[in-house]
Order: sequence, then structure tokens, then C-alpha cells
Amino acid sequence: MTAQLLDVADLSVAFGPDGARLAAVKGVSFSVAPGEVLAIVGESGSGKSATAMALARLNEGPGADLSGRIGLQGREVLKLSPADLQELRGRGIAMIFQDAMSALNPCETIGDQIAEALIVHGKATRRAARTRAVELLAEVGLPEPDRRAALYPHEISGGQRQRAMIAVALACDPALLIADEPTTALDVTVQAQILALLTGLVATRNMGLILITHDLGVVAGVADRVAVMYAGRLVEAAPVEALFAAPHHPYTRDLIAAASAAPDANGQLASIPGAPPNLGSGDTGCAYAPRCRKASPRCTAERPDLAPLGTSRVACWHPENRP
Amino acid sequence: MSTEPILSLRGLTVRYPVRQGLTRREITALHPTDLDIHRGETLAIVGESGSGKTTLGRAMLRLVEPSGGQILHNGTDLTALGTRQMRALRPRFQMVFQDPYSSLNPSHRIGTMLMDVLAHTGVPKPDREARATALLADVGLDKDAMHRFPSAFSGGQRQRIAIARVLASDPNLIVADEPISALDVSIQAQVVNLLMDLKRKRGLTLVFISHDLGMVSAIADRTAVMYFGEIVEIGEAAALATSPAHPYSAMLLASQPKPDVAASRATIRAAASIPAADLPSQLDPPTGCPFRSRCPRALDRCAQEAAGLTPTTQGGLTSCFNPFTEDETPKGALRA
Repeated sequence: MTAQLLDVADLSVAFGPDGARLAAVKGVSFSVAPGEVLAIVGESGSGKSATAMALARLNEGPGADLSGRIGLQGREVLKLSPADLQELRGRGIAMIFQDAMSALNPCETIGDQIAEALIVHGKATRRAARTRAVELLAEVGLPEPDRRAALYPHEISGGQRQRAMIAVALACDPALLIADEPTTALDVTVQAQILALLTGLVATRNMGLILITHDLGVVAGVADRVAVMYAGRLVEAAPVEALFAAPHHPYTRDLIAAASAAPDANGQLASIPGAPPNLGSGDTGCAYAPRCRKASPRCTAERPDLAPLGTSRVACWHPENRP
Repeated sequence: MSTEPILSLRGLTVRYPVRQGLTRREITALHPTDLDIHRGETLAIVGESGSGKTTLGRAMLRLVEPSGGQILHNGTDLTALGTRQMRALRPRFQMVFQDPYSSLNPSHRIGTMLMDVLAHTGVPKPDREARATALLADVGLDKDAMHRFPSAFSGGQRQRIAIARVLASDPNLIVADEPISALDVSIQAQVVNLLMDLKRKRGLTLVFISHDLGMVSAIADRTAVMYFGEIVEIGEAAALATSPAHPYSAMLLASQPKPDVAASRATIRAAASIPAADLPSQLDPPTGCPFRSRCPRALDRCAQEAAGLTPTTQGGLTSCFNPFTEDETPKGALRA
């Protein structure tokens, strides 16, 4: 195994008033190597975004606890001083979000926003920052970057705004880029182009990428490895080919079936019965058991831990496709 | 399927006024559209944002006022009806919206919501509660739901409630505008299956608006693909997904990443070679075919004139001078 860029061990995130914290993320562990794309897949409430935010300590504060270990380039993120943390954000970790319209400042031109990132982090003088901003806009494939640098976010299309936000994130050459549902708000034709851009950037910059998504089609196209989350826990982690060829966790298998949208003989689409559990519901047994076709009494009584199986890790008493 | 369409759109047009500084202008959100909606069918309307699919769905029910054209129903032109006459017909035509968080009144109990509709459609008071309970059962919800507020329900459950409310007026036609886009993947298929099941049991006609051409081809009878305010291809759903004629339909199918590693990687590799291009501006519409700026098959002729809908070798209609024929199935189309 190559030297890891990011090493997360037993990360937990809990929200709520003192004494009544609800666990959104419950002890997840994973790693990312330089030049590698890790996709974190899950539904709303699965804890995938809380995990991503925790990596840059963006969701820390009164009413929110982060615990566990986050190692980035050999540094312990959860122990950094505020000044060191500021240094880490931007250079170490940068993040892009689903909605570029609200992530970008509507009162500032695209070029100024990129330049600002460079100046704040002391990477360039004011004059050099302008030139670098235009270079970055060219790198993310914005046509006529010179002219577009002087435009405001509302003056360009949704796909172009997403490119501009990626340029802001790249400004300080981050070692790790976290993309939280970066293409969910985009049309499919634009989505494919943004995904092509992101995979290209990972290769040319040898950057790590964590892609948070609910879309297994996107995962199949972009990820090297996949972590599937359900109700705050990792339920399966696997190389992408293995995950799609032979999913081990019944939830993974059901998600893949639902995503392929192929109707059965009765014209019914494959669906998963029931709904994900609420935050703070009981924690004995496997959270997926109430919806799982393979659930046994053991599943509701005893929680399975993530255990190696072939090239994967899976938390299930009755995994499918045993090697 | 009986012969007379439930709705016949004839030259239906929607223009919206826009103000640019001191000048007032108009944009055409829906170009004159002819479309028959057959009784009992599931018609999918597919397109990207700005394609006019929502405008078409709303205009056919007069939820946005058409700027021109006719909506024929049993020989009556709905656009000529007065408010009162239209209101009398409204229960027959209903709509399910995308976002079940904003389409349900947060301060009304579910029972109140359903019984209001039942009262409106003339159900006698003593029968309303039983009918409302039965409607909830139809959409798979317990009668406890009657006394709760929308905040007590998840997205999928709220969409079920929205569907129950629509069914309360006993409609013939339901227009569902992206009814599953706001829902989690594991819940989407449940809601689609419910809609299709109710449609079969009640003999409804369903217009299903979506951005996902692959998904709708699994459930629809016919699909209409829209681009820049007009239908660019319409045909039998399975045929259109396996052998699209219009290059835009083909691009939509090819751009959708599928849950298959080799196929999805090929999709993204192909996208890397296409130059970034956007929809043309509604304020400055291009001459000829609006898709030509993104079209890999554009001819010189496409810049001068619009093609208009003509029959395809696949049995549908498309507005293209250089469509794919049945024998040259483009890359990325779904396997038959």
C-alpha cells in the first residue's frame, strides 16, 4: 500500500445540546492515497456530509463534538491550533459544494474570489494573484478565462459556476479535495463534463479526492474505492470494480439494483422497502436489518463490525457473494 | 386505450415577459406545440433545466396561462373557459409537484388536507373521514397519519401524502413534475411503483415529467424529449431509449452515468472530448435548430432553417435534418 495522504480512524460526529447529543457519524475509518478517488455513498442522513465536513473541522463547535483521529500528511487534524487549522484549510484540504450559486460570493467577481484565496493564504501578491486566477480558470476549462474572470457568479451558467468554484478550491494547490455532491444540481450533459474535469485534475495534480454522492452511476465512473454509509456507519468499503461486480452488503446490492432502474416482469422497479432510521434511534443490531431481506434474529440483537472479506470490508452477518 | 385523446394541445404557446433595464421583452418558454395525450397512457416529458418541460406540464392544465393555442378536452377548448367553468373541471386534472416539503401546508393536519379536498368535490361530511383513511391506505400509510402534521413525515411519506391528496378529487389525468427528484435513491422506486400501481388500478392517464431519460423509459408508454422550449423527439418509450433519432436524445442517454464501471467510465471519457457548451440564450434565440451549437451531426442547413417534426425510421417523430436511423444506434443508448 502506498503512503496515505489521509488516514481517518474511528471518527465520530455528534450534534445537539450537552447531555443529549445525537451521533450522526459513528466510528468510521478510511484512508485516501495521493491521486486516489474515494467515493462516500449514502442517502440523506447517512452521515456522509458530516464526515466530509469533519475532515476540515467545519462542523465543529458548541453543540457538536468530533472525536477519533484524522491524520492528514502526518499531522493530527483534530489537535491543530486555530492558526494551524487555518493554514490546513485551503492548502491541505479544500472543499467544493453542491450549490455553487450560494458557495460563491454574489458581490465579487469570479477572478477576485480566486485571487482572494491566494492572497489570504500568502501564496501570491495582488498583481500575481490576478494572473494566477486567469490561469486557474483556464485549467478548469472555462472558455475565455480573461473575460470571465471579470464576471459575477450570476452572469455565468450553472456548469460554469461549478468550474469557477473548483478553481477557487484549487487556488492553494490542496493535497486533498473534498467534493460534496458537486454535480447533483447540474444537468446530465454538464454533469458528465464536470466529472471528467475532476478526474483529470486528480491525475494531473496527484491530488486526493473524496467525492460525496448518492448517485451510484457517478461512483462507477469516477471512484477508485468506495465507502458505503448507512445510518452513520460504514457498512461496506471496497475497490470500485469489486463493489459493482460482487457487492457484499445487502444494502449495497439493493442500492445498485435500485439505481439500474430495470423493471421486473410485473413492470415494477426494484425498490427498497421502508425508510432509513432517524438520527438517535436505537443502536442495537444492524441499522439496515428492518429493511433487509436476509435479516436474521442475530442481526437485530448484535451489531456486526466491519470485517475483511476478499478485497473489501463489510459489516454484515450474512454477506453476499462470499469469495 | 380509447381513440379520443384526453387532451389535445394545438399550437400551445407560453411566453413570459422579461424586463431588461427599461425595455420590456418576451421570451418564448414554450414554442407552439401540438401534442395528443391518450387516455390511459403514461407519457414521459424529458429535458434539461430550461427545456420547457415544466412549462408544458403546467400550461396543459392552465396552471400557467397559455399565450396562444388550444387545449382540447372532449371537444371543449379549455383556454376559452371562464374561471368558474375551469374550476369545475380542475378536480379531473391534478398535479404532483417535485418538492413535498413545500407542496404540503405545514400547519394543516393530513386529515384536514384530505377532507378539504373531499368537501370541495362534494363528498358528504359523514363519509369524508372514512374516504380519507382509505386514500391513505391506498398510498401505503397508516390511519394514524390523519392527525399528524407534515413535519412528522419523511420525504417519501410526504410525497405519498401529496399523491393521496391528488387522488382525493378522483382525477382522470395526473401531471407529476419530477415527483421523485427530491427523494432518496432507496425511496424513489417505491414512489414510482406506487404511482404506476395506482394508475393501473384507477385507469388514470399520467404525464411524468423528468430529467432522467433512462428511468422514464422503464415506465412510460411514450416519451417526448424537449429542448429549448420545443419537443424535438417523441415516440414509443422503449424504442426511443434503445434507438434515439435526435442527436440530443442520444446525448442525454449517453451522458447519464450508469451503475456499471466500464460504461460509466466510457461516458465520462466521452464527455471530456466535448467542448463545454451551454443552452443558447432565450433572449437571443439562434436561427435554425437551437441544438446545432452542441450537435456533433449538424449540417450547414441546420443554421438556416428549423426542421419541424417529421416521421423517423424508428416510428416516432423528430425535428432534425440528420437524425440517427434505426440501423445506426448511437453509443450510449440503452440495450434493447
